Amino acid sequence: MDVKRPLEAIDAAFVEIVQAGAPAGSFSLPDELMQQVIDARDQIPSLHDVDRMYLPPNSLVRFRGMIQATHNPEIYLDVYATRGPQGETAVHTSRYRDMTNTKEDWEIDFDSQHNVYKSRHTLHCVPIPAENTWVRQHLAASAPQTARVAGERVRPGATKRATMDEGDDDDDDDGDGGDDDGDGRGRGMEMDAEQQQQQQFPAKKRAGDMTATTIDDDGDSHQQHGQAPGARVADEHVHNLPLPDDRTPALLKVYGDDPGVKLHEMVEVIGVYVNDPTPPSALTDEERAFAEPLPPSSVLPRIHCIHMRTIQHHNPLIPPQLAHLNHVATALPGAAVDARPPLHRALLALVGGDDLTATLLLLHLISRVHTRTADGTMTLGQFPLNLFGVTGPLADLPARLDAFLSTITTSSHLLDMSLRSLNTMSMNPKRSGSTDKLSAGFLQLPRHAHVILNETAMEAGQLNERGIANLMALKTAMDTQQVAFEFEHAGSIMFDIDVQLLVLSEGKSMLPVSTKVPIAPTADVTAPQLTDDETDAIRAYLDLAKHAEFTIAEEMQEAISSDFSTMRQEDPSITADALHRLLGIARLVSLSYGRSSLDLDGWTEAKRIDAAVTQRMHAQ
Amino acid sequence: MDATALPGHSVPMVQDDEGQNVKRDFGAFLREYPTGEDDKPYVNEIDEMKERDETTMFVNYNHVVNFNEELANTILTHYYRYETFLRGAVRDFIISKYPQLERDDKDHPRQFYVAFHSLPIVDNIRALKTDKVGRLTCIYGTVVRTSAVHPELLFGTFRCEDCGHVIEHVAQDFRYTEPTKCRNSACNNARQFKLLIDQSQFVDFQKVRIQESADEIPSGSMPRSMDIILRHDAVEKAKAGDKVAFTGTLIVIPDVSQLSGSGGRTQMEMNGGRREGYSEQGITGLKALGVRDLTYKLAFLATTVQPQDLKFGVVNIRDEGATTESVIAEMTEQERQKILQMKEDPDLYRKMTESIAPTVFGHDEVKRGVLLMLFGGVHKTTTEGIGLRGDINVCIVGDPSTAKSHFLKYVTEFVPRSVYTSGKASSAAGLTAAVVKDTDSNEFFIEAGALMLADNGICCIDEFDKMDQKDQVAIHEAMEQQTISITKAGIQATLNARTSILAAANPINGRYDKSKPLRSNIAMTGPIMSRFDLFFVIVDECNEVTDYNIARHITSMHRLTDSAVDTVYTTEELQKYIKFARTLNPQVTPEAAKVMVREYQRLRQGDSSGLNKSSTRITVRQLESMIRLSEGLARLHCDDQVRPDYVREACRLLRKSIIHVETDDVQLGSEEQQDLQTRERAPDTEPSEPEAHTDSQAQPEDGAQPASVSYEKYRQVAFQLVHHLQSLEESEGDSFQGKTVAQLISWYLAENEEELADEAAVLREAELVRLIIRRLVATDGALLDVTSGTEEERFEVPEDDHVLMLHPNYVIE
Repeated sequence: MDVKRPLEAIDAAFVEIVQAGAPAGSFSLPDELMQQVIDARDQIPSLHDVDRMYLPPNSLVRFRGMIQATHNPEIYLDVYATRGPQGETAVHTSRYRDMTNTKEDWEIDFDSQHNVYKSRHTLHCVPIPAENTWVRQHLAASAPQTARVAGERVRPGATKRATMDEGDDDDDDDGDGGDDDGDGRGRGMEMDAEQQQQQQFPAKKRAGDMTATTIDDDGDSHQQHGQAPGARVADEHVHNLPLPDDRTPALLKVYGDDPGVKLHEMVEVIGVYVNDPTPPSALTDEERAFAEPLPPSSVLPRIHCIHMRTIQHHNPLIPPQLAHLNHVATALPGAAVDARPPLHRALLALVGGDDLTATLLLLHLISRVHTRTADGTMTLGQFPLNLFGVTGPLADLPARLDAFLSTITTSSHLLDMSLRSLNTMSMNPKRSGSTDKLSAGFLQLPRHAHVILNETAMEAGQLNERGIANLMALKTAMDTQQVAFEFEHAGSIMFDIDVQLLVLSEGKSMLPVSTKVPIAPTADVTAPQLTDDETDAIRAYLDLAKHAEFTIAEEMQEAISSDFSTMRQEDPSITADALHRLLGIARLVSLSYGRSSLDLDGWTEAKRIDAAVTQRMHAQ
Repeated sequence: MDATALPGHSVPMVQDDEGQNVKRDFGAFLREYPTGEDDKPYVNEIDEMKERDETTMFVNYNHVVNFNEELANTILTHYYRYETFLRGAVRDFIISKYPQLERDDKDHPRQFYVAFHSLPIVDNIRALKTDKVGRLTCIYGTVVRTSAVHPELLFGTFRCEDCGHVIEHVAQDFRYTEPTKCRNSACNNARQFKLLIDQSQFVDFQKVRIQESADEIPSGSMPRSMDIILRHDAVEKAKAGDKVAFTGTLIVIPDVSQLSGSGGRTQMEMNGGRREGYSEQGITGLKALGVRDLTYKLAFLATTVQPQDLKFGVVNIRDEGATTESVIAEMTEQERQKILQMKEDPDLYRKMTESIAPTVFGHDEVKRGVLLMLFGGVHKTTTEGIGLRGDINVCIVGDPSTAKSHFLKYVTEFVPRSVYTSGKASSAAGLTAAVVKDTDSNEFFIEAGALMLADNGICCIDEFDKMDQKDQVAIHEAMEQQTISITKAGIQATLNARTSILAAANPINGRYDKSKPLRSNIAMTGPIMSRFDLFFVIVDECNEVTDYNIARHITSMHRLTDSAVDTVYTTEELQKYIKFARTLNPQVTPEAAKVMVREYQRLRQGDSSGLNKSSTRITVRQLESMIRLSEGLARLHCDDQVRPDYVREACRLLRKSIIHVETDDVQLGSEEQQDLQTRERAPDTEPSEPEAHTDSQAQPEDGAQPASVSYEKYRQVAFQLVHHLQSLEESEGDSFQGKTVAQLISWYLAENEEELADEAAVLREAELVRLIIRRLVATDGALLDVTSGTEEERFEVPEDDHVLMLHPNYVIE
């Protein structure tokens, strides 16, 4: 099929089916056509890599993103009949398109017996939030040449604009408008600080910034101007992204049964791209108040999905097959384990030679939620970490670590936990009861995203109600890895996330992080020195370790249980929570060495690490 | 709106025979139901309608089913098609009685409406698909938005701008519809019409949006919403936040917000006159290209609005309106079989207990308490109209990082309409409710707090002891009367808070001191404590066996195997079972009543005998608790009678809850004295009674055990010793120089001679008293060691020769 004109092939298939006498209402895309679409994947441009101006309407397009919200199903006339000027009739399908196009002088017969109403599902899908530049570059580089035609145009204003977006981010719609002046001043100061930081650390990644950074062997970093594809998205949509992004979100329309995708899952789709320049409809104020209309497709493109699959990760360096399985039944490949020493070395350099913190950081980076109990009371696997003592020579740690993580993790973000940002931002997503308008929440992040919460930005002052709610949301995210979607007048609903949270603070964090440890640098802070090969190995290692299978043998379980019982006899203050923590550390330690099951060494090592943490905390 | 104006239903030029049949049959129903009885409810209803100046006739669907099942079925499946005929039947029926009602004040034909209610099935929004279009349906959800009430053009009267001919009674349907052509045959005008507002007929119109309740949504999905169109008498019946059921039909309308420059709408502003610039065909340029958007939207045209908790509610296991029949009707055959199977299981109680909070190891008594709370007792209303609460309130007191919060979280997940909150909640509405002033309208409205939100559910309150003072006061009322009263800012309201409370509290000093009574361990006032049916204490204690098992349990969870949380019954099975069981209202049998009386007497005696004098007073509240718990147990067994066995189990739980805290063993002596092996059971513990000990400490039956003594025994001995010393002090005055330890022991043994059977018993008792004295000196500070000499010298003195006096600061209870 022609990837630029898929509807022709679909219409032809429809006519064939109807002529064969099958009921028009039961039409579904023939398997061979579907296969053709999937096979043509490499020729189909990705919506993110091409300038939408050059994308012909109704052509096939790829899109990869995270489900941010879903709307009500949409009712549409799936099969409709038309009447010609001489009274002749025909039936058509309106599958995979927003608008129908009838021949001149032909009219739709709304009363026809052939008409079939159906519903299609609509999913609001955002580009994967906080996705790091190297992932995007990797994908763009592997994309077909034809698909990148328009990608070469350089947008001079892109970088600047992105910085301003960052500032705008705090400008929430319903934020109080009374302190504009203070806001403005605060922002100016913050931007100054940012610029300073950027001068000190040019490597610092900014969401939406097209500046990619690679750190060379000699520790110098230099910038590359990446491509700036895609038209800039209208402001209202920037607001509706969990994080600012230069790429456009899309409204996916899915046919057939409920696709069953959950919120915050990542999907990859191939579908028909709709970009219709029709101006927004003329609504009365009251209607607008009752139902905020979706933005026109020129602002929010629609993609009628032909093929859709959920993906478990978006790391281009590890096999996509892993994405199909919930638990990968393979141990970590030996080659990947080789990445552990350089990673440890790099982290060690960042924290000034503190082995314990570097190890904890490493474990933290490969952690993920592995179990949620059926009764919803427990989430296991997450390993939130608070490193404190971020001051003096370590004061730059948040920025340095962020710069480093953005080169090795698939999605990462640095959030300054300042009073102002806590009081103005919104962690939880919301849906207004009055207009149905969705507002994204910061915590709507993709699986395995990493967030640094920079508590050193905090100052003494007053938290408003929103600030308290945001802190509560962070606490919930740490405890149960869930985010509350707030529905006006109808309470809130919890949705699962899987986000690694690292709190960097001067003193002990005010957040209830389960593992808190002060950094004890023994050497000067240096920049991580990694070869390109090592960096790639680490990138693969982090996600492979997350997906690797892990077991605890029956004998080991016995041994641990006896051991715990003995530990309790010796020190009654050890609680069940401590065992949870120890088991979590033991699992990560073993996985970090590529072991797929827990052995005594792993258990002893975990106890050693935990004891070292406790000891250092007592020493405080 | 007149459905005859719909495309495909244009004014019946052709006689619709089926429609006429429906009209005839429905007319007969209105006149004759119920067959053979003189009292005709629908005939009476006309008078009421006339009195209230309403035009809607409410029809119970069940009545139609009883009268004519075929007709009922036709109405159900083809409601939209026959709606005009049904209304026609109502109109004829009313006018036949009151012909003067035929025309309204403006001499327009008066419109009458029919509204069905009490449909057998209630759908949720997710179930509404295109196949339900046109059927009579009932849906429910939470109202999230209401529009202002507008007049909607029902029948338009137009004047032809060309010839001046007035065209009357042009039916409108969702969009503003002008006559297709001037009815004056000489005039060819098909476009220039003017709407004559004063001669047109309008109807009240309101749009309401409802959203799926949180408990209806598959995990990971967003709630769906639906726009409801309300007209005439149905407007202003629902407000934002209400849980409401609507009866009506699903319709498909062009999605105005999706349309690009859509067609005109029938909604009019009174002062607006006519709408210019709108045409049905959308933007002219697009029309020329033949491009059309075929997106539609489902809306629900509702005639009946009912608050949900009056009659409806589907998944909620605490559904007050549900009857046994309605619950059974909702279940699939498979589910029914499963419930029967569960009911027959002789080991049901144990298996259910084990299925509760599977991530928590042990704590079976707490699980039993929580289980019974889920079943609940029977709500009763006295002849005076005073409601007696059936809800069971449970409080868990325990050391930090024991599984308290897990129970709360489990219940929050288990019961859909439940709220998890902290006593330290920061919300303005707090636990109860707050009066809030709306900044836009300056109107006051009531913002619901956790207890109100959990109406008909369970309110889980963590850190109950840290509660705000004002909440503490309000919770008194909520826990017993199950209402919340507000008198503030001109608003006086009594709001329902029919909720069970599951609370968790921390002991006063962070750790539970087992030597002290419960009352001294938590910062809670007596009145609040007495409102809890059950108290459980979870103490974090080291015990090899328990620790091992806990560790095994936890490691299982980390092994990625589901077996750790595998339960006999799944959450869903439990929910269905409980929902079914909650519809039963078991009666107390005379035998059970006798057992209750006896058990209550025993509790009261235990209370007044002084041994438990520091526990919660046993009052009628505890008797009520006993009844509720027994009823809960009867429900658990799907039994419609409360049998003596249930009462006994209820009493056992109650005893554990009230007394077991006091029977906690008091640790005597230090660790090196553990070899003393003093094991003493409470003398009043009957052999049939389960062993009295706290929940977490499943003690090994043999083996080394620290010297300990039951709390009662400890109190009893201490009491005697203290009083003995006090009386001596009083009688001898300043000359009293104290007694040695040996003297005290021998005095005590002499006093209690008759209770000690043999020599061995005397020796044991002597050793025990010695330990108690040590504790009174060292820990409790009740006695003062006044042995002469320096510390070192004293150390040399044999223990028996130490001289003791009553501590001057010790206050005797």
